Amino acid sequence: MTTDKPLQIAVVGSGPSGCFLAQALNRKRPDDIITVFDQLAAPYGLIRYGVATDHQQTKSITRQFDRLFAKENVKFAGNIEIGADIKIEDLREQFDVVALATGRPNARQLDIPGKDLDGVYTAADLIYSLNSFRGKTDVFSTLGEHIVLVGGGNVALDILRFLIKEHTDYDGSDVNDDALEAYLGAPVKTVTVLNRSSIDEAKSDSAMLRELGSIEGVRFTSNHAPEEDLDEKSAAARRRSAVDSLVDTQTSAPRVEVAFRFSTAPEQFLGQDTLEGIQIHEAETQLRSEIYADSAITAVGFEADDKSPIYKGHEDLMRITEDSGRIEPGFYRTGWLKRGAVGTIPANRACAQGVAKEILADIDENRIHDTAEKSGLDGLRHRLAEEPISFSQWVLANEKELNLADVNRIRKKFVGQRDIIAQATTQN
Amino acid sequence: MNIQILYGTESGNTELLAMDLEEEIADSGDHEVEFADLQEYEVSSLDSSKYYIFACSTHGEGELPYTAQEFYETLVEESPDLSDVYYAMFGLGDRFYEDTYSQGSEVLDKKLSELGATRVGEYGRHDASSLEVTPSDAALEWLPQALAAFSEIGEDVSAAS
Repeated sequence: MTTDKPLQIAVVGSGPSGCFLAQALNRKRPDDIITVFDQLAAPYGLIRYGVATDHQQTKSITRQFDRLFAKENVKFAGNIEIGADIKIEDLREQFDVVALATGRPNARQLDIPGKDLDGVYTAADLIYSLNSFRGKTDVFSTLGEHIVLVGGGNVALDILRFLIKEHTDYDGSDVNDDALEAYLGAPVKTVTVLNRSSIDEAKSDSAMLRELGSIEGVRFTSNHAPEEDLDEKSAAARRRSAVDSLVDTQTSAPRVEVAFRFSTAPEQFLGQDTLEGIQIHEAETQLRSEIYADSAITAVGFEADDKSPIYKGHEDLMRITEDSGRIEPGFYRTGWLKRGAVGTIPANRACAQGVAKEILADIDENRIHDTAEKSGLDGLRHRLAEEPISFSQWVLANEKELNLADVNRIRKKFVGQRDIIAQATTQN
Repeated sequence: MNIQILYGTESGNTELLAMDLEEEIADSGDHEVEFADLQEYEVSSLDSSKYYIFACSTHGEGELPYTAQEFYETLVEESPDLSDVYYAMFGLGDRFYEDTYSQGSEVLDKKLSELGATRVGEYGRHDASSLEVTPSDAALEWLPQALAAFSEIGEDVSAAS
């Protein structure tokens, strides 16, 4: 391949991984045309729909990508589902480089007896509604007073924060107020946080645990035993210190009680049709017991959307690897799709930069052999029933969301993609 | 003046800030300026031929961002004499974490000072929990006094370049 003519590069998925990859490629090859596809009309994937609504500082990384899409050679093509609207083979025919950054958006089910009972929810059921990805808010009024939260990672802590926060804790957020009001009309009284791991092996970040301490009216308890012989700079020691300071905080007449139970595994959801309790097993004592629960929320990881047409006949694209992002020269994966649903946004930034290096090396060392002239998005328009949503159209919808924000909110999101498309394609 | 901007970042936000500082200085036409990621910059390149602007975020509970760790560890291991190095520091953090607010940059600042480098001007800071002011805007507001502080150091350093 001659590298002097601009290449056509397709990135599938406009979440953090896809955007960081496009950013890294654009820096080194500013003349190439990069098109970032998304099945949704709005860009930014997990940043917009997965990051908690009260973590606006994390969502603020979109400033980088707003800047990226303002460049003439970097295009957004929203509301285009690769695999359905455009076959992946056709995409590869029109682009020199295709990179998949489709993520892992589906909540993993906790596979224990009773998982299908009414009252058993996943973290995604809540997060996607709070983030206005879905309009459905009925779950929020039925969670009940006693909730068991299963999971020990940062997503579980996002859910815990939501369960114990009050109205004023959402100032400056873009939370879906219908969902919030439905929940705060009948909020929780006790939360039991079940973590299969010990406190030293838990997957949560200590900073996320410390953040819980700023919420008023909560009493925390924990079942972990003290341990003196830890390097105070280790993640385990920091986590212990964070939990200890939560537990040590004096709270008179608490609104909510939160009990952390480490090294405790859920074995069975109990009940006939509706959840009534959970059978648990404690590793240290080998004791089994039952705890009462009005509802259970599981936060035990995310997996690929295996029903997505992009993977049909290409199931191996969902295989997790720590190795190369190269499927073959000209075809790549990055982020959670490649690595599995682990690691924060910075980890996926580093991953994207690594994959960008592989792509650049393949270009520079002439490993991409298909040298036919590529037309990029223009070569595919005749296959599309609808024009893709462009970045300038998204900006129109974005500005409307910002302008519609209520007092104490940073924006009011349009719910559902049809509404976003309507707002993006009309001036007023 | 020759100005070298060096940044340490986790999410890329501080990189964006560094690029904005670079653009602002370059557009003024008064100075030579370059910017680099700390993970791609050699400690041995630090010298008196340039003035340095460090921009550094905070990771977790007051730790350095991962992209700054190798640079920092090299400073610790090699203990270079930095007594002819002048720099300005801009730190990013989240005031929410009171005890560790913008400590990532402070870890780096402390080490540079220990090795003899001189910090000039105001210690710049941006609080991520204040969403009204972007990190770039805060840094651009801070920049003029940093440049003034460099020029006040005197011709002796510039003359060496």
